[in-house]
Formats: sequence, structure tokens, C-alpha cells
Amino acid sequence: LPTTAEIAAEWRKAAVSPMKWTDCVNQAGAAQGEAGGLFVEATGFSRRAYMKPVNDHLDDQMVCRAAREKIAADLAHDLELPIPPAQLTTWVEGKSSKPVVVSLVMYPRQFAWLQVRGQPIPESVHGAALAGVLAKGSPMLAFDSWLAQEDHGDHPHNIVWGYEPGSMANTGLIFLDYSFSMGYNGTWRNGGWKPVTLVPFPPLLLQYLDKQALRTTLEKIEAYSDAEISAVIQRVPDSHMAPAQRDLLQEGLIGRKTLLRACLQQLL
Amino acid sequence: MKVQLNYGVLSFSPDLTNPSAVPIPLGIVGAGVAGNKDRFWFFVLKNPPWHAPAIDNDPIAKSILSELPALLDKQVGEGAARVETRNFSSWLHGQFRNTLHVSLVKKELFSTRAGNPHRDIMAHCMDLFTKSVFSGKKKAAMEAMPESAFRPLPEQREELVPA
Repeated sequence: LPTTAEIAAEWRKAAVSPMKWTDCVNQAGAAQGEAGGLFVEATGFSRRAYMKPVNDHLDDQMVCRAAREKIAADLAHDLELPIPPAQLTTWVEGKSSKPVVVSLVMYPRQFAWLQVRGQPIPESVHGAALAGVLAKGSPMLAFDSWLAQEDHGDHPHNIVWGYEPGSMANTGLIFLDYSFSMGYNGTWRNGGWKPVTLVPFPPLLLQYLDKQALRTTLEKIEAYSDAEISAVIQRVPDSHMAPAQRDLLQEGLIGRKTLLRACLQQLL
Repeated sequence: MKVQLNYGVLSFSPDLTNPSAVPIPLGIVGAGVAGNKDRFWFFVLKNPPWHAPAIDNDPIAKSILSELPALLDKQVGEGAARVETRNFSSWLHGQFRNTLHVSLVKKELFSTRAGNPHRDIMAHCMDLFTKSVFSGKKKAAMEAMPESAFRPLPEQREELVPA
């Protein structure tokens, strides 16, 4: 069976999934969030993935939820950050079809931030285990500030703690949901991407902030070439994001990477 | 007295990555209204909840589940006070979405006999636990030594949308 890392590398290669996805028996945890979603599987593929958005939205043309998820996942993969690998596909239901994204479920066991953020650390078994991974979230402050992802500030569900039972070497925090990032509501138009500010971040993660890890990720983002960023964005098909939207994201992400250091300086 | 119940089955997923994994039910969590005025929430859980090899071999899951009643008091108790009873199960479903998740939501309307409605409500909730978690097998349900709680809720003062 391919490992998560092998699947991530494979999914990074293409914007659109070559697999045909269908809903699976195990719907454990299917969210009733804003976008709506369901768990899916594909023939010959042994892992479960989460597909969204299932709900219809009047602002789909502007927000392009699926495309933003894919772009964030690919950027994160290149920067070695904990966002589930994702690929785009089209969900056909009856006579209608819609652009969606499938994101890999990363760990056999996952607990929502809501269920772990208030636990005494390290006074319990799980508190001690969690303390070991909190610092791994530090690089995400740089990434989220770059992408203007403002939905991780102690959000009860958009951060989860995952692990493989019996193998605590395979554990980590996962950051979810980039639908509402990168100026999703039109705020990046006409140079609106220029103000780069620290995004809200969970107090517990700030308490365990690893400054060196934050600095390293900042340097990786600064060194990320314009051409590579552009390639990640521009290969998204028109069906999932219009060319003008892609151009705006490209302009914003390339422009913001040079402004990020000033915003993080106070923490370095 | 008529009692409306709105509840969910709280389950443990042994493997979220597996498309065909089967959830392990741990208990039920619900909210209700008695006599159209008295609001309450409740839970009935296996005690301890990890009598399944998939959980028993996972010290982290056991540690989290050992605090499940306290977690429910905080997470559900506080939320249930803000959410209308009829919206409770969909709200609950949104709260538990990962390894610990709501696998099924249901609604129920029943009548208590004259005398002690509280006792009748708890007996009914225990029956629902037996049906939902042990497929109606009473002996197995009793052997699980269920832990239960019944908490009154403040009167609903305004229409609130579930969080």
C-alpha cells in the first residue's frame, strides 16, 4: 500500500484527479459545515478522502472553494507543511455537475482541536503526547499569514490532531479548510492583497511557538520562486477557477511573500 | 406528560482512513423538552467506553475517552443551552466529526406516566442506549455498566441558529 507521503507526492503532480470518486460506506465525521462535504473512495485506491463543496453557493464563481483548497495543498506540499494532499475533480449528481476537491484523510485517528485544546498538558497521557506536536504547528503561522487564511484562530474544527495508533512517530497537527483564504471575497482586487498582517492563531500554539521553525518556513516562502507559484495556480482548469481569478491569486501570493517578513518580525 | 427527545449516537471510528471501517458506538447524547417547557440534556455512555480491542490498545484514545463525561459537560452542556432543542442533533453532529463522531441522529416523542417523569425519562433514555449501542441486548447493555447524566437546561429565551 502506498504511504501518505507517496500519495501526497503523486497528487502534487497533477491538478485534476484521474480517479472516479464515489461516496463510501464509512461516512464517520462527514461535516455539516458551511461548504458541506462527504467522504469518498475510488476503485483501486485503499484510502478515504473528503470531497467538498457539496452544498450549492451563490458565490461559487467568486470563492472557487475547491480551487483554493488545491492551491493551498500544493503550496503546502512544496513547503513541507501539514495540509492534506488534494486534487480537483467533478462531482456528477443526476444531470448536474460541480467542481469539487478531494482531500486525503491523513491519519487513522484524529481529534478535533475543540476536543484537545482545553486538555491539561502534560498531566494526562494524551496531554503529554499532544505537547510533543504543538510546536509543529508553528510554521503554519507564516503560511496562513501569507495566504491570509483567517479561519484558524482557535477554530473548533479547522485544526485536528492526528496519529497512528502504536506509532507516535507518525503524528501531527493538520490544518484544514482554505476555502476562505487568498482574498476569497474579492479583497485582493486592485492591490488589496498588499496589507500583510498576522492572522489569528490558537493561543495554545502561540504558547508552544518554535521560532526557529517559523523562521525556516518564512525563508522557504521567500525563496519559493515566482515561476513555481505561478505554475501551481495557473494549472487549475477554468472549470474550477476563471483565468482572471488565477491571475489575481498569482499577483497576490507573489507580492505578499516579500511583505511577510515585516509582519512576522515581532515573533522572530 | 409528552416528552420530545432529539439525540445522537456517539461513536468511535477505529480507522478514519479506511473507506469501509465500521464505527464502534459508545453511547447516546441528547436534549429534550418535557411538557413543552422543561428543557434538559442527557448522556448515557458505556463505562468505561473502551471495551473494544481497537480502543483498548490505544493509550491516547483511552486517555481522551476517560474524560468523556467531563468533555460532554463542557462541550455539549454549554452548547445545548444555546441551541434550540429541535436543532440539537444537527448541532451535535457538527461538533463531533473525527474519531469521536456522531454516527446517527434521531428524534423521538413519548409520554411519561403520572408520578415521577424524571425516572421515566431516564428509563426511556436507557432503553434508547440499549437499542442504539447494543442492538437491544439488555444483558450486554447492563454489563457495560452505563454511566448516565441528566442535566436541566435554562429556559430558551431567544431563537438561536445552531453554531
